[in-house]
Amino acid sequence: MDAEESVALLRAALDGDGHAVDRLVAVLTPVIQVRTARTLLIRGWGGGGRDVRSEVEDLSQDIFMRLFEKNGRVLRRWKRERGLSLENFVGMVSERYVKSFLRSVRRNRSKEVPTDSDDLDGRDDGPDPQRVVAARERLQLLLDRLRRRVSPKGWEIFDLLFLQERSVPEAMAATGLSRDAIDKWKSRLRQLALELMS
Amino acid sequence: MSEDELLRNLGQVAREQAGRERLFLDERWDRLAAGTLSAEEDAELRRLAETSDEARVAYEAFRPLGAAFHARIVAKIAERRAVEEANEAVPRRVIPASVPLRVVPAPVPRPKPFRLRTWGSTAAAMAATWAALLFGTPQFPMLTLAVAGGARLMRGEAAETPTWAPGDPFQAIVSPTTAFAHVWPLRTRVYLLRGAEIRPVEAHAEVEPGGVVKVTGTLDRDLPAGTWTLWVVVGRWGTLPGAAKLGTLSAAHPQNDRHWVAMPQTLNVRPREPE
Repeated sequence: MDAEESVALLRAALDGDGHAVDRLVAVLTPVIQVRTARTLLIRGWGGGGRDVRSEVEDLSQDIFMRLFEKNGRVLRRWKRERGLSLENFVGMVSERYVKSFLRSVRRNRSKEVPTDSDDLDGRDDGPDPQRVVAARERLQLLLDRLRRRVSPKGWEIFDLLFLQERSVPEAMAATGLSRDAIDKWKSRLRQLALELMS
Repeated sequence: MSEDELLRNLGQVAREQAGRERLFLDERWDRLAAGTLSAEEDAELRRLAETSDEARVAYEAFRPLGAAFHARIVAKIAERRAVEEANEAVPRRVIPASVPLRVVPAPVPRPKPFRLRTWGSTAAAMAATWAALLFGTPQFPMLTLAVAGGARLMRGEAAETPTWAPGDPFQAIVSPTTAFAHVWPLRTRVYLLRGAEIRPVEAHAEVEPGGVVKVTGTLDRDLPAGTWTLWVVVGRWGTLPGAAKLGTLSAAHPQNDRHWVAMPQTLNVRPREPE
């Protein structure tokens, strides 16, 4: 769909033309679905026996409602002059929505507190796959935060030592830093990770 | 736990994410969702799905959402538009031009107080934070289910077990047995199950502040007569079991996991009488 067609279709849909709404939903559904599924899966939400397809459906529906609510306020923000196609604009909105939703879900997980502790009596508290998945999700959130907060140099050191699992001498050779400087970076990274966890 | 274990775990998560990016950024997934895959590409993705769990989940996630989803979204958009138009029809209070507008200053964020961390040792801190990571989520509470709807025939003084006909509406009330603060978003799914046959049921769920979930839905119009089990599943977002998992559960009593509860109810379905 070219930009002119997008403008006309969007205008007609927001004016309440049923055929245009029908066509717009058909055009945007795969875009929203792909961005939603990709964001969930890359962030590890495909594990733990989850019904990911149902989650993709639910989130895609939420995104459509967000796009069209308040007389299509979000869709009206799209301007072809800014260079992004309508599909890419909606894709960007979708990705942000899913990321924000995942962040809130992960943050809220530990805040949910039963108000009757008797309910927990007699439960098996051993590790189960869901808990392991939950722990990994929190690590994923921590990794996102670390990536945003650490300097480019710090991320380079993290990448060499912990992502590529290179030795300290190899990291020294790759960065031109001394052993002492590498150790200081490791210490800073560890401290930052601990701070971001709290 | 050694000092660098947290960073090594983060490195492991980053490596896994990079691997997933390689798999899921493949443009064939985009074409699968858009329904424009060639037959050869579709066969390749299906083969991939047979050899890898991640690819199997991806195939399901990217498979086109279909006509039912499309129809539902179009209907919901129309419904939302009608509600907004009805709200706009209510006259709004007009502020006369002579009333001066009061400028409310934006709140100034207060700096966070400096907190002195008193970790006993880095290793102990690691152990504590790792334990917090692993054991943070409390058990989901037990729930009870009450289903209303169907028809009860009177025979003598006693009412028989209710029977249902295809297309009948139903209401289900799901109540927690103990008060429970739901910060984590809840999801609800409804299925009908008979032997190996599993049918997802289109239902609408509303969660009330006290944790009670009200579910309303309609039985399929082509539902075959017989004895079915209606499963109402409520749990934390992202944790609900798939339909196939329900087929492995006993329908004799509710089933609970750490993150969800599945409640069965037997429904006797009779053929719909001709109108």
